[in-house]
Amino acid sequence: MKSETKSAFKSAMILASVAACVVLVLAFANAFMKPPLPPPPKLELEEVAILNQIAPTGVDDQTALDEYYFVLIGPQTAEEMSAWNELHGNTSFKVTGIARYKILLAAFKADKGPHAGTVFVRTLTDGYYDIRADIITAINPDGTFKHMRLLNNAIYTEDNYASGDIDKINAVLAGRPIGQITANDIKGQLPIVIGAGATETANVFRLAIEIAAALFSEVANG
Amino acid sequence: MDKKHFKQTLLGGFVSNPVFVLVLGLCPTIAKSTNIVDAFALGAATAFVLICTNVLVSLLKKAIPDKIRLISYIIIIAGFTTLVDIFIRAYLPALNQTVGSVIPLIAVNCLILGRADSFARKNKVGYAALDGASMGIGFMIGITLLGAARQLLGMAGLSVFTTAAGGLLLLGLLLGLYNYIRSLIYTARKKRTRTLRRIKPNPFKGGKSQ
Repeated sequence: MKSETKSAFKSAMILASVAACVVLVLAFANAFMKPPLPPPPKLELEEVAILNQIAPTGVDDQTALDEYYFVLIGPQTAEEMSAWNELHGNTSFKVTGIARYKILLAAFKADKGPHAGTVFVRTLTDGYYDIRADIITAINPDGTFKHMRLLNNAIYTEDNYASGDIDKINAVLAGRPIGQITANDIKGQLPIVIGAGATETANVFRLAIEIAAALFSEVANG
Repeated sequence: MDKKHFKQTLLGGFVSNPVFVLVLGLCPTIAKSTNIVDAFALGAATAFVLICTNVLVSLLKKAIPDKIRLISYIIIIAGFTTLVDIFIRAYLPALNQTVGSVIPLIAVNCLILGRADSFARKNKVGYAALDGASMGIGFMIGITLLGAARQLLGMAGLSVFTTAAGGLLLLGLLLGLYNYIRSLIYTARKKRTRTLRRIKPNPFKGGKSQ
């Protein structure tokens, strides 16, 4: 074998060995250092206040909490939630810092009152770096879209994006079957100047609706 | 042990501070120095990767051929960065929420590759580790100072310094101040050396005392 070929082969072997060792160490570390489970879903006064605004029960927030006007549904423990999100959700980061998030935080149902049967799905979806969109999607008992509320997000707050965006989404999607809403239905309602562009912005709400639809179909089918 | 080399390596983080003198690794420095806790955490993570990389590169300096040394170093740096990322996700979830997204950027910090190539591969393991620690601590101090300054100015109402542009501006000011203080120290040391030479002349050069 010529010395150049020998040298190239030797270099390739050494490079492969270094890479293999690094991969082994990382695989070992990944197996033993697991991230902690997120906290279990909860229903507290803070959540009840929001739900009471979206689907008014006719009573004050404390009464609605004490008398179980709203109940937790879907995954109840941290383990169940983690397993559900592994199946239906997604968490990953792109190099540019765009966080691809699609996580169910909690699901509730109105058990009493004029809007009994309404399902509320709270989700965390796409954002930038450590900022994610916290959204509640409300679904009517017949499976049609009722309302969507953006709770907090440093980029898409209700103060700093063009007013009426979330209202446009609510107006366009009202009454449509939750499982049939597509990205195109939402994309056209948002101005392109927001965030990284209409596509990224539409994702924020599209993913929330996808999770809501998945959760609703599970709950509806028992 | 070569005392001069040891002293030079030990003080490398101050004499050639990565942030204020070498001006390396500015991307994470500006991005995550908006508060002191995040800045310190990122600085500590970078220091850890730097020390580990330097040690491993020094250990493998004879085994890695010159042709593939940079690729190998990059693989090693990426490996340690990923290890830090896995650790923070597992044991420091609160910190992961704030700095987790920029931890992968440590792998492309030119400070680490630069020190691995210019120092670690040419020196013994002990010196490589010392250089990693010195430069890492220097980087940590630099980014933490910047973080503290930005946070204080932000709390005082000067929110422009919490933006990227303001961060760059403040970095420039701190850079100027740091190098000014450094030059004062050097000037004072030179004067002291000259004074000592006049009082205690070198006996081998036959000088006279005044």
